[in-house]
Amino acid sequence: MSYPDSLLDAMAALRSGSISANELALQTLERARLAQARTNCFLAIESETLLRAAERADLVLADARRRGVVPLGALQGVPLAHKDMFGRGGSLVRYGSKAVLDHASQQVATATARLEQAGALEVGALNMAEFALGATGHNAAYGDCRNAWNPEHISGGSSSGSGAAVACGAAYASLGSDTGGSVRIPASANGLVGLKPTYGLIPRTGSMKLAPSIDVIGPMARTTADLAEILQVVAGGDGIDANASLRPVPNYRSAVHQGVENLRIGVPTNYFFDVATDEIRAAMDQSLKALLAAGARRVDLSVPAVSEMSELSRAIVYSEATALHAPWLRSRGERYTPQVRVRASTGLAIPAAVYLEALQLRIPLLRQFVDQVFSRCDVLLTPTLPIPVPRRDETDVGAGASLWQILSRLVHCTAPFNYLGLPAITVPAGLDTRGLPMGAQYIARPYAEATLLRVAAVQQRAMPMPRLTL
Amino acid sequence: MSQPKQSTSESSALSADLVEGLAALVQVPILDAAMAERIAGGAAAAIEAVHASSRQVEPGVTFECEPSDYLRVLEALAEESASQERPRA
Repeated sequence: MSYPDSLLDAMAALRSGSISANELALQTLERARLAQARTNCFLAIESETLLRAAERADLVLADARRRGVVPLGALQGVPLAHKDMFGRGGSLVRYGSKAVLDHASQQVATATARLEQAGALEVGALNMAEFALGATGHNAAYGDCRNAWNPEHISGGSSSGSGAAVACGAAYASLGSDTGGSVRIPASANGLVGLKPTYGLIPRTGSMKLAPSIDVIGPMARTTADLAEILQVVAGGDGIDANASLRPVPNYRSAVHQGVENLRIGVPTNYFFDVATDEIRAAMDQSLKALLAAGARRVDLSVPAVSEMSELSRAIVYSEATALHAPWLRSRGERYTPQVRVRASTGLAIPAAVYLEALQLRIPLLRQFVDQVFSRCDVLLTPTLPIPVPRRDETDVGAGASLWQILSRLVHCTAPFNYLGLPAITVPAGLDTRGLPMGAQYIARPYAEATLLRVAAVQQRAMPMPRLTL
Repeated sequence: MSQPKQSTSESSALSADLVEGLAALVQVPILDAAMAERIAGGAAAAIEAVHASSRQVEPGVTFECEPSDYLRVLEALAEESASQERPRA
């Protein structure tokens, strides 16, 4: 049988028996090897583990078919791969760094454990920015992860391998983490749907910390329906992560079929489009048109207090990151790559009072934003990246004066929502003139992920991406 | 997360020397002056943003906000939305 295009297709094919988990795993491994050669998206391809797990999945699937029931585990036999930051109960987790190769986390990550319990398989461990401290996909320790559509360009980061691997078809979906845009940037740059959920929706238990006051885990996939399937499995408090919400988990699977009729789409008149290129603006216009054609309504509005939010977020991230890294910076700082060592040390120079002020300001600024924006619209539309996906050499160390400007623009539209903790989704918005993906970002009220999935599904149906062939 | 933005403020009092002094105080090694300068630039930009933002909220509002209430506030804002939507349904 030919390789199923989507995660939902794979689930259906596995259940019907038209493809076995073993066949699917073998085909996925071939894709993983091609993806690795093109993008360096894997830190390890774990063929033997995958094939052994596929054998077990085939037994479960065959038993379910024999008994005429749905197999145990919604994702039984489906190959996934994740950012190498999720604890596996004593196995090596690299965090994208060579500084911690002797540190095997004893923790088990709730999010990946839930996927495993649902029957999903793992192809291997994915590349990422060292300690998730980088938005481009550069990694001096393991080699840069490259863009799936054009390896001369950045994959985006920090969940760089997640973006490249899923785009190449080496996994049906992937979990990453997003502290400043680290799911949405690589998802957008590689033509995927990527979700930064509301703070607290997915438990972070057992995952690498960067800045616990802001960190969220988020999925990316090639289709909105695939992403909803993953979200359905991983969302909801686990009773361990004290900052995971215990609210009931909505039905995300059904949200993708609900359409956008009468939904109010907010178009910001300040900040978010200030640095957007004409081509990106045109892609956002197309995205909006797709939603209006499906019955949504446009609302133009000014959004409050966003211009400083990326830096407010950094005040928290760098303070917390330095506190987490300080013991390792003292004992093994030389094992960090130089650029990451700077980023992990920046909190040294941020006074504790400033860090706490950034945290204290967050609640009034969040209330203000939600009151002023979401009283007038249901979702806000911005570009994910306001600029075209940069080349790798434009964003490498020593790239020159334009480097800081490019780096700051990469997170211009994403980081404010990390500070606020609001949910945001990126959806493919076509290819630019160089053949690289563009993405539209939609933001909603806290815990309104289902609304974002409705919007993303409509846009994706109206603006399908061309198939990427390796 | 991206690299720290460099401060554009000429009046920034955060110098590389100060960074090196703070680092020595907590015994985190700093490689050289260039590293200290980059840390100073990134930290100064974040500090300036916090100051700028604090001017956008009512004085005293931070006395009414407890950072550890953040998750509860997110949940409450979600519930507000749900209660507003019920009459329409």
